[in-house]
Amino acid sequence: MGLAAPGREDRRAAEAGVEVRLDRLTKLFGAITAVDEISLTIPAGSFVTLLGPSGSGKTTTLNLIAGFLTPDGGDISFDGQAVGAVPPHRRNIGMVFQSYALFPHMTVFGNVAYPLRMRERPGRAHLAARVGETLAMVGLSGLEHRYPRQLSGGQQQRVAMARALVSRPRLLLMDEPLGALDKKLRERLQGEIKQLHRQIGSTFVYVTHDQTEALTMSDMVVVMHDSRIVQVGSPRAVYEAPVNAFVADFLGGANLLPGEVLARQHACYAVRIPNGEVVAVPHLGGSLVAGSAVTVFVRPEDIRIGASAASAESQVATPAVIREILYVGEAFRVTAMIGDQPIVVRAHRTEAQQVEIGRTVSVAWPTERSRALDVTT
Amino acid sequence: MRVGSAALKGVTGLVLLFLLFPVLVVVLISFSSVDFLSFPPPGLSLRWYRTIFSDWQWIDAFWVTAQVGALTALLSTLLGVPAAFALSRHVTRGRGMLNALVLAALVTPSVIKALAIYLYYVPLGLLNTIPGLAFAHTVSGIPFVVINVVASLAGYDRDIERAATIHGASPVRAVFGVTLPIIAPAIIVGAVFAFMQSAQELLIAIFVLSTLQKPLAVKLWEGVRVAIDPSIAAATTSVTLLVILGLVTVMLANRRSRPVRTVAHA
Repeated sequence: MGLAAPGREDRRAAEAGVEVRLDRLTKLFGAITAVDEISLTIPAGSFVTLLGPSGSGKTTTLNLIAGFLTPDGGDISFDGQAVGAVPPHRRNIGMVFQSYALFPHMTVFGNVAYPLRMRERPGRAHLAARVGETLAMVGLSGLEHRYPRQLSGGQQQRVAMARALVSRPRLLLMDEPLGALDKKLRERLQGEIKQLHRQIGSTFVYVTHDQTEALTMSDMVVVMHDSRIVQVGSPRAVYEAPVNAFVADFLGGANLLPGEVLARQHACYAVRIPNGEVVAVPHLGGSLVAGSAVTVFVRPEDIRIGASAASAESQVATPAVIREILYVGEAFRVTAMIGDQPIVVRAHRTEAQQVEIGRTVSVAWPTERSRALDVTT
Repeated sequence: MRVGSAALKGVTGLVLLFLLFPVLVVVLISFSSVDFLSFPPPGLSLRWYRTIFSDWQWIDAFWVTAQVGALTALLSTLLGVPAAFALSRHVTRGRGMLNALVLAALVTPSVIKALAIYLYYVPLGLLNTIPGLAFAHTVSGIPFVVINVVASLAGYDRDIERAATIHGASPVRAVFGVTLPIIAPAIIVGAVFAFMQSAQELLIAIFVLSTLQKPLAVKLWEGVRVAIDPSIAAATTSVTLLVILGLVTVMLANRRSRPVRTVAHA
């Protein structure tokens, strides 16, 4: 302990987080390919989320990084060192499991002390200090002598966090750690986990199927689908500029209108949408030729409706027939038909009051908020 | 609904009475004050307990049974627990067959086992030895341990062991420090069953160990054949008490480690 006390900040900065690199990583379960040649670099100290529906390979990827599974192809390296031959208990990782996986026969203290006892053979006083410090970090001071079954779900989750963090691992893996909690608690813990990440500086790899969680917490979101990585980027990039219809839809309500490219102009495609109108969609260097099928993507919150849809430059405006108006609390969910295709609009109260079911109104969105998604990817 | 539940209670009560009545009769007779078996006993006394606990032959029989049973429970645990781990975690092909093989010991007729073991033991010099009988009883004790531990492992969240491993415990340490303590109740249940199985086994005991030392089961059997007096009932009641103690141990073991409360999604 004498060694650690003076330069803890330096030490923490120096060994903050580990860079994890996956290189054409593959895992098969019998005839099923669970992870299919994925390559990814997780920068040291970043908060990266693997996001995808169940069966997309995200948990398998996490278990490969932990070392619980042996890859059938490809490599994993930490800071450039291949870890293929390193067993899980020597990888120096902290992990939070979906079921928490607390040791039921040990107290909170015993659970949190476990990694230190296994890794360092600490003295009694040092052990108590480190455990106390970590429990304080997750707000559980005073519960040292309780057993896991005597704790609430949220408290169990915090014990799992404390156990994962106590030995200051440079890599922390989290497998849907908030999946079993109610919404309110989940939102609070999201903030706390983010704060812990800033405080500790380790690399966090987080697995979830909840897109809101991924967007609010991550520095980088890795969207997985069918055992592959479909898109890697900042939360804004994956939300606002999805590479295909799957990502667009998975990250939140997305309007996906089928269309046909009529021409490629200097910054935009001219696209015919289902009501027969032609709208401009940024091509952003895309290379679709006239005649190709395309999906026009635009988020519900980017669309204005009725009177507020009029005027404004660089907008696309087109007629649509109102089909449904739903009250969802903080806003209204208006469904309008563009030709035979529904489009969902997140409307403000004032907008919603101006429209009626069955009426034809104008819907509009800023051109730069729409994307042309290649239907073949 | 209420009528149905009352009927269910009635039927359950009758079935229990049918099953337990012989035991109750034996227990009552063991407190009899007369020299012959009669029910209900004309008077109550503890004379038959005094008789068996002051008779060296009976005390010896209890002691032999205790030794054989303890050794059987120990060996069944040492062999059965690893077998259960292997069956539930590592065997992928032929699991059904291996399971059947382990359980076969329970359904093989005792006479066949007894004779086979007798012939097998003669050249090995294991006849009339306590370890000899314990080895033979272990064959039937292992299934109790395997069944219980396999069931317990099936309900065990493997992530708990993974949590130990990822946080620095070697695989062996994770099993001994985390998994075994958690499934300990199942192991104890298996061991208690193995012990009780050994204590009540008669046929193999007669073949393997009956000329010099007699385990309780053999002594009871011979007692019933030679002279019927309430000392048999007293010995039987003592054994019943042991069994009840064993079951209480099992219940306490189960209570000690309830699973972690998990929070449901809904």
